[in-house]
Amino acid sequence: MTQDETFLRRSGMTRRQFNLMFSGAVAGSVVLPTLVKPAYAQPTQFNEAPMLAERVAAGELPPVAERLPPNPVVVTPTNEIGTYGGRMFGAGRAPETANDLQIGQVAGLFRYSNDLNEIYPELAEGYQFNDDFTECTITLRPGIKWSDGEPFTVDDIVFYFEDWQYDSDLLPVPSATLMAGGELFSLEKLDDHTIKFGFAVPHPAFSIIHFSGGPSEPFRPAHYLRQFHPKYNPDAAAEATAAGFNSWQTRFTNRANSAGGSFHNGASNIDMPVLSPWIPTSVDSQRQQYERNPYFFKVDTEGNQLPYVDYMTVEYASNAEVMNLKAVSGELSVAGMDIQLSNFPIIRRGEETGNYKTKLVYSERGSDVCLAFNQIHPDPVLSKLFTDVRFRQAMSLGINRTEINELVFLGQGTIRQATVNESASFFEPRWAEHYVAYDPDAANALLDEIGLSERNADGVRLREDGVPLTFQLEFLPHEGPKTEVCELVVKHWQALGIQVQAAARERSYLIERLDAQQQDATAWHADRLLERPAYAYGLIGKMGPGGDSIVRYGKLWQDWFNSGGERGTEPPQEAKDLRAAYVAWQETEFGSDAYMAAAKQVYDLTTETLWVIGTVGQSPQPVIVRNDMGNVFRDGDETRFWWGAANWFWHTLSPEQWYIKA
Amino acid sequence: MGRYIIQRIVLTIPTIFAISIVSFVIIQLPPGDFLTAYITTLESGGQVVDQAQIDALRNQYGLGEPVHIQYLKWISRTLVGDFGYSFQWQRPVSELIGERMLMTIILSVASLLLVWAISLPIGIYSAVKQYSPGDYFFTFISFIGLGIPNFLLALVLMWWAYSYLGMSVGGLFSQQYADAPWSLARVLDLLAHLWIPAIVLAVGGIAGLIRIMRANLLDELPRLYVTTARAKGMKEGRLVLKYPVRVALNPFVSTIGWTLPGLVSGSIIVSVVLNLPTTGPMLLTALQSQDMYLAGAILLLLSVLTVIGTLISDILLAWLDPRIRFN
Repeated sequence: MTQDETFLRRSGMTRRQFNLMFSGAVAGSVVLPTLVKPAYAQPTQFNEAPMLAERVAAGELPPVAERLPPNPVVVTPTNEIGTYGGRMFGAGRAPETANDLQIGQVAGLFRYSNDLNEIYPELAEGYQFNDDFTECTITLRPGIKWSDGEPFTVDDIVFYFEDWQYDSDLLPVPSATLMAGGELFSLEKLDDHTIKFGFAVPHPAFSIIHFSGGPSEPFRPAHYLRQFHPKYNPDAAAEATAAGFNSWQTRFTNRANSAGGSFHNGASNIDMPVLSPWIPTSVDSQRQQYERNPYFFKVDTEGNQLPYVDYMTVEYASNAEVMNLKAVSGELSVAGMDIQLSNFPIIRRGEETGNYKTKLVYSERGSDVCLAFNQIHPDPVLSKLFTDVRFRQAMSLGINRTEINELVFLGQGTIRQATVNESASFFEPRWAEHYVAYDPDAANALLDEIGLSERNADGVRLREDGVPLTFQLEFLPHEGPKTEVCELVVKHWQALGIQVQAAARERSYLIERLDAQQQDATAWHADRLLERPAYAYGLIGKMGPGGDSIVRYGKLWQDWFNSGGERGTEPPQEAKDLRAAYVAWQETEFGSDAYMAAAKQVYDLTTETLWVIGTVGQSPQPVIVRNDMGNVFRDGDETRFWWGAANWFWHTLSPEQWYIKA
Repeated sequence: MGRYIIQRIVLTIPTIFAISIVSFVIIQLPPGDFLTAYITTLESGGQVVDQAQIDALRNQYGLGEPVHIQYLKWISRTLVGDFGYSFQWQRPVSELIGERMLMTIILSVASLLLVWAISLPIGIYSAVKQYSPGDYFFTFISFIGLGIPNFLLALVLMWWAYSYLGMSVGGLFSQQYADAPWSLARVLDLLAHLWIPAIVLAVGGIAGLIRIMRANLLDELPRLYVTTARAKGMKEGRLVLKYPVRVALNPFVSTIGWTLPGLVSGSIIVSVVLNLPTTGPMLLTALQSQDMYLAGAILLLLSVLTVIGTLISDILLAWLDPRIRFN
């Protein structure tokens, strides 16, 4: 991979080994990993893009050596040293959704290998837990500057937490991802480049280290955003109203490039300084434009400041067909997120005229379409059925996954249950194989056994109250071939004598049904199942107790857990066990023996309960790379590339070192 | 006449007011709101959002209030020209609509002119030469034109233009001119792209207007005043254009009222298919994501334009055709 940058910490290394490595560096109270093994000599001479050299000559910018940190991140280009210049083109579907170019370029505290097993330093130089994992100290790389030239310091992290995420005026309910043992992380600024996080319980699964569920940016430019916060600017509220906002809060989140408290992919505010390789320069209702960040903190092995490419344009396409046609006609430098597998033949045929190459990469989704039955169904008869594990086993056995794989995924997907990726260090094949074999006889036998043996004249099984067994499989027809798979699953289940319909729902309507726990069965995808995200986020993810998103099969259990038993419905023992297993797992150190044992416990439970039934996972995804793009994939590299590893998409391919060939 | 015009203008105010209430209520009818829909969108970007957090945000954005309070707040701000912020785009609504207005008007005017330029002469020809081979030919063509769903035509033309003409598809400009300042080259580039949407948008209209023109003219041609003029030795061509055609034009004038809102909404589905930078697709996504300020502003704009358009055609009709009474 490209991040042959000095490595910080290999996966699977125990704390003891880790401390041994650094025992020579112990000095003072805080022990921090320093650079371990520079893979390449640190360049001493730095070069810059011609467009920046011009601005330096004109006196608009300080020289490159002053813009870079004294110890910049050195990136080894994927294939060769690139050349400066040019513009990359990408397309996106809507302002608030992620797109190829924009999500690929976000700078985070750490960086990950494509399977997410290895962590590399980026904005942060290193991290260190204390002995009982109740504290974690993160050191930032000194001398990094925001795109306006202001220094990036611990203050920007403190501001992000204290004045935004923890500020009850802005976010009355802080995110569960910022808690350990039910309490928010504490923060302590040690100096400008060192910050200490504290946890109420041992928390080696600290999300900021293992985080990989999207752009990991626990920081914002405090020097810019303070003017919008009443704590620093008493007139903030009046100014917000004058500017046409509902409240100072909505103005603050808007100026912080956010909507609803989270990252807004439309980069609606071009005035906010960034740390990423490109700065948004204009945003309108048709496209986003970006220009290189003169203060970007990375260089290549010859000391050339990155990125190589000067400009980026992301155009919105109002529908997927236009997007695919744009890619096929060679208008996009890279495309992947909205390229449909069903168009694969057309995409291959267009390679020559469109001047691009296609590569099949694989989704990290444990199951591209997974199914879950409502465990607290308002209808007591259905509820009794859905909570019977034999029913779920029968439903799993009744699915002809080979047919789904052949018809929908060109035979290139993997037939498996929704469980953790096999690249996980603790993976056991039985989790993926549990009840995946197509066996309608066994399924029928199980259904007969649980009291569904009576059938009506049409061959439909009768429930215990004599009514034909009817329910709906509800799904959102988005993000992958949900419709196609659900229709096949429904056909397979109908063959078992169950009157089931596939029902594509409108987004808000289905969410309202899930919130009220009124759905029958739902279908969605099971993602974040590579090892680290599964560890750091599993408890609140799709495979956690009660599920998540569209496969939230036990919302009332979650209410019960979250309210300490005051609200919701008391979950069954298995759900309590699963929750306890996750909590215990998150208290063990990544890669330790205890960790392996705890992980097995978690996945044994998710496997046995079969609350989430998998169909086909790790599906192929065609991505298009135009022939004039250099350094995107390593030439001749045939290793399986995990597409959107926990939703980072192009990120692990380091777009800052892509270049445009002459 | 003056009294009539004032009367009509006064009547538009309560109409627009009523429409604004109806459209606001309709936007609120689907279950959930923007934030509900937003959660799953964020999920696809890999972010973890808590339901509780969303509930709390609902109050911050004023979405937790009763509908009539939300309406009053919205309408009182709208009256002073503040359309609020779009949830989806996180930008002021007036800016968003403004950006797309020019292209929408260019496109709609182009297709309207195309419709008139083609359908009027053909309609006249078909009526004058009724049951001639030419009439059958145009009738056949226009029925096909009416029958083809225009989004399908859009898809076919787009694919054809890509595979045989090597044109960049979707949108009104090539990549290099997309953001360039206006220049002759950019105008030519626009024209090179404009013909597909203009044709697609025009086809249905052309076919319809040919039929209307033909039928109206056929009603007028056997009238006595035509016979009289012919008996007086008036040349046939001049006669047809001077008398029956003018009368047959009435329906064109009364449809002007519908073309004004059409300028804004474009033809939504066609615009989505062709990825046109017009307000139509923006309205569609705003409705889908329940971005109520954006959707509300566009709907309000549409209804105001409909009302004004109707007003204009009423006044034009009254002026053109004295037979129309003022009460």
